Amino acid sequence: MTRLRMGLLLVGALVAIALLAPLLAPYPPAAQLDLEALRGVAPSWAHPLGTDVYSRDLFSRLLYGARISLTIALLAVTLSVGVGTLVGLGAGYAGGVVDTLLMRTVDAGLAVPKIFVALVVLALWENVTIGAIVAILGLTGWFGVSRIVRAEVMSAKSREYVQAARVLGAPPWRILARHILPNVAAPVIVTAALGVGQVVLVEAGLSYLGIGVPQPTPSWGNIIADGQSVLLAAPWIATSAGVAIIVTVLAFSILGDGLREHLDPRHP
Amino acid sequence: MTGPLLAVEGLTKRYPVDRGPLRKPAALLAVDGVSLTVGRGETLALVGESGSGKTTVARCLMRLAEPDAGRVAFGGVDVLALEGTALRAFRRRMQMVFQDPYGSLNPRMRVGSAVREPLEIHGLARGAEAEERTVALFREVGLDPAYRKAFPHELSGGQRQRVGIARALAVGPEFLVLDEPVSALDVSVQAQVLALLRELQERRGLTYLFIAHDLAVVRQMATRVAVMYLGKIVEEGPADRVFAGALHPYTWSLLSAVPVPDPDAQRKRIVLEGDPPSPVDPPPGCPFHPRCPHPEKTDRCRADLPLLRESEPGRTAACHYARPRPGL
Amino acid sequence: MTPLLEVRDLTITFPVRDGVALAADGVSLAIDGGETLALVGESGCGKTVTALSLLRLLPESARVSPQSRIVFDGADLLTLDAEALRRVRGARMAMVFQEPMTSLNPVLSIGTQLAETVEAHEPVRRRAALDRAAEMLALVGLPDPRRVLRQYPHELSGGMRQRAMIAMALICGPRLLIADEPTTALDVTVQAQILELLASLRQRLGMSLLLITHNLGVAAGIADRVAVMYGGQIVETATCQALFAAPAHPYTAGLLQAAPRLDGPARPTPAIPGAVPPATAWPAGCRFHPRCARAWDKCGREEPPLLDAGPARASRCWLVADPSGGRA
Repeated sequence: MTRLRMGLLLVGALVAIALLAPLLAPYPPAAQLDLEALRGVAPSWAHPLGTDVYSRDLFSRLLYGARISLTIALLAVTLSVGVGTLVGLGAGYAGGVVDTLLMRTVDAGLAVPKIFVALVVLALWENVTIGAIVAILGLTGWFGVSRIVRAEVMSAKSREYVQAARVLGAPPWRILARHILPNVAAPVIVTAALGVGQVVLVEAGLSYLGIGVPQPTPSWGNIIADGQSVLLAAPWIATSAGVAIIVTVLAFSILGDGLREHLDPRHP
Repeated sequence: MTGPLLAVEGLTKRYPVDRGPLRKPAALLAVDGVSLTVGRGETLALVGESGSGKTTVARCLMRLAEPDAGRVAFGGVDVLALEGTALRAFRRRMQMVFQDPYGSLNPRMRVGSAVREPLEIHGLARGAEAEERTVALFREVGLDPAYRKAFPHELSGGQRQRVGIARALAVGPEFLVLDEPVSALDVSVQAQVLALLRELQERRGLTYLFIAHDLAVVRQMATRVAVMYLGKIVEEGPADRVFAGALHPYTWSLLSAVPVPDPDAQRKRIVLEGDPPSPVDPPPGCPFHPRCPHPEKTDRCRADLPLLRESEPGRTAACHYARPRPGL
Repeated sequence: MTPLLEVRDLTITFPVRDGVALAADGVSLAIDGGETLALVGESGCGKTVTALSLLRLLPESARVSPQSRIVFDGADLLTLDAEALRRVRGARMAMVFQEPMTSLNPVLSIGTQLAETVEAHEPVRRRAALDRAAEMLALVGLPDPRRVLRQYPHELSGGMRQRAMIAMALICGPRLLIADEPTTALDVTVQAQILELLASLRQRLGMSLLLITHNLGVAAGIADRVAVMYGGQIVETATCQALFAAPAHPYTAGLLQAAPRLDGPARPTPAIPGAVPPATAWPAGCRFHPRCARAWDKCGREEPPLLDAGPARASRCWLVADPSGGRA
C-alpha cells in the first residue's frame, strides 16, 4: 500500500470520527455522570476508556476532542496557507521593494517563537474561544509557507512557459493564477498536510497548559492535563489522549509524505 | 509602407555580475550596440554560439528584458516606449516561438487551452468561436485537433513545437521571433518543422527573425544572415553571399566547424583554440583576436576595436582585414 | 581476429505506464580493437539504452532478456559479479556522457575526481594519482593542468568540462571508450575541438571508440563503421564510406536527405513523413514500413532480419532480397 493511500485512509478515518462524534459518543462530553460512583473508573464495557476525575466518559471526551482538535488544526492551517500563499505570490512575483518589505516582515515573524506569542496572547485574553485559538495559530504560522511559495514563484517566473505567457500579453493576475499557482501548489499542499500535525501538537500543548481550549470543552491537550495529576492511579486518561495525538500527527505525516511522493517527481 | 518592418539601432543590454562583497559588481555586456533591420517577408537569421547575445537580443525585442540603450522600431512604432494597452496591442503584431518545446508549455495546461489562451487574453474570440479557431490553428500546423485535450508531456517534441507555433500564430502576428525553434528536435522532425515554417511564411506573409547556432539549418531558411560574437554583430549580409564567401574569420570558423554528413569532404577544418570567452572580461581591441585564425592578423587587432563596416555593397563585417577565407 | 566487444541479441524492456516498452530488440554489434563504430539514430531508437547496458548502468526497472550477451575481451559482462564488473568499469571500458555538468561531481575538485578514479583501480598513492591526473589533463588539451586540478566543475566552461570528463574516462587506459552524444550540448566550434581530440586520442592510445550520436555529420567525420538504429533494432551497418555514398536502408536514406547540410542546396530538406511510434507498440512487420515510400505488402506482414547486403554491409529491409520491391 502506498504511503499516500495509507495516509488518506488514516486521515479519512480521523476526519470521519471527528464528523461523527455526536453519533458515536455514548455520552455528552461535559456531562458529569455520577460524581460519587463513577469518578476515575477504569475502562469497562460501559465506559470503554473509563472515566476521568469528574466522572465524565473519557471515550466521548476523546471523540469530541478529535472534533475540536482537528477543526482547530484544519482551520488554522487553512488560514496560514491562505495568508502565506498570498504573501508569497506577491513577494515572489513583484520582486523589488515589495519583496523586500514582505520578506523582512516574514523574517521578523519567524524570529519570534510562535508558542511564546500564543502563550502571551492567550493568557491575557479574557474568554478564549475556539475562533481565537484558530486565529492565533493561523496568524503565527503563515511565515514559513510564504517563504516556500515565494521561492517557488521565483523559480517559476523564469520558466519559459511563464515568459511565453508574458510575450502573449497575459496580465500579471492571469499569469499568477493560471501559470504560476497551479505549478507551485504541490509543495504548498505537502506543507499544509504536515502542518496540520504540527498544529495539533501546538494546540494540545496550549490546552495542556490551560490557556488553549477552555474546559469543559474537551481537547486532547486538556484531557492530558486532567489526567496528569492522577497519572499513576488512572493512567488511561492521559495515555489515551496522548496516543490519540500521536496517531493523528503520524497520520498527517504519512499523508504529507505520500502527497510529496505523488505530486513531485511525476509532474515536473 | 516602405522601409524595413523591424529596425533595431544600438541595442545594448548589461547584466550586473556579482563579484563578492568586497568588489564592485562588474557589468556583463550581453548585447553591445547591435543594429539590424528586417524587411517585410524576409527571414533574418541571427547566428552565434553561447555568450553571443543572440537570445538576449530576442528577449529585448519582445520586451521580456529591458535594454539599457538603443531603439527598436516596428512598423515605425517605437517598441521600447510602449506600455500597458499599447504594449499589449503590439504583442498581436509580433510573437515568439521558444526553443524548448517542453519548457515553453505549461505542464499543467492542456495544449488546446494553451493555444486558445491568447485569443482570450486579447478578446479576439470566446467560447465556441474560440474553440473553432483553435481547431483551425491545430490543423494549420499539422496537428490532429483531437490532441487539444492532451497535456504537453503526452506529446512528442515535434508535436509540442507545433503547439508552440500555433499558439504564437493565434493572434495573427506579422512578425515571428523564432528562438532556436528546431535545436531540440531530431533530424527528421527538424525537417518537418522547418518545412512547416516556410509554408506558414508564404501562406501568411510572415517575417521571421530566426535565431540559431546551426548554420546548416540557417542555410535552408534565411534570406539574410547576421553573425554575433560576444554581444556584437561581426558580419551581416545576404545568406547566399555569406555562405559562399564569409568575410569575417569567426564566420569562417563557424562554417568550417559544422559537421557534414560526407566522410570524403576534405574539409580543412579551422579548429579554434580555447572556448568562447565570457562576456564579463572582454579583451581589448577586437574581441575575437585571441582565437582568430586569420593569417593576416596583426597587432592592430589587439589594440583597435574593428567597427562593423560595409566591405561590399550590402554586406558588412567587423574586421580590419575582412576578406573571404584564403585557400578555399 | 576476435572483436574486442561483441554484443549478441541484446534485448531490453522497461515497464511503463501503459505497457512494456521494447527499448532494444535483438541488437547485435561488434567492435574490433582500434576501431571506431558510430551508433546513429534519433530519439527513441534504443541507442542510449544499448550504450548504458554495456556497462550495466541501466535503471532498476530495466529487464535484460536472458539470451542477451555482451562479450568484452572474452568475458560476458552480463554475468559478472559486482566486484568483477567494478574492475572493468573505468579501467577497461569507460564512458563519457552528454552533459558534463551533471556527470561531474560539483562539490569535488577535478583533481580529486580524477585521482579517485585512478586509486579505485590501481594501488597508487594520492600524489602519484594527481600526477597522472595532470598528465591526462594536458593530454586532453587543457592549459595549465595543475591549476585545473584544483578547480571545481562550475569554474570550467562547457568544453573544458567535457575535456575533463574525457580525461577521467581515459585515465586508466581503457581499451574501449563509449561516448554518448559527447558533443550535443556544446557549441559548434567547441564540438569541432572535442571531435578532433577524440580522433587524435584514439590514435595515440590505440583504443576503440563507440560513438553514440544523432548527428550524421559527426559520425561521418570520425567513424570507421556506422550502425543505424530504428525501433530498437539495428537497421543498417556498413563502413562509413559505403553508408554515406549509397545507403541501403530507406530510413538511412531518409535521414541523409532530411539532414540539413552546408554543402547542399539552400532550400528545406525533404522530411521523413510520420513520426517514430511508441516503444510500447512497434508496428507489425518492418518497424519502419508505415513511413517508408518503398514499402509493399510484405513489409507490413513479415519483419525482415538483418540481411547481408554486400561486403561488411547489412540492411534490415526486404529490398535487399527483392530489389524490385514487390513490383514484379
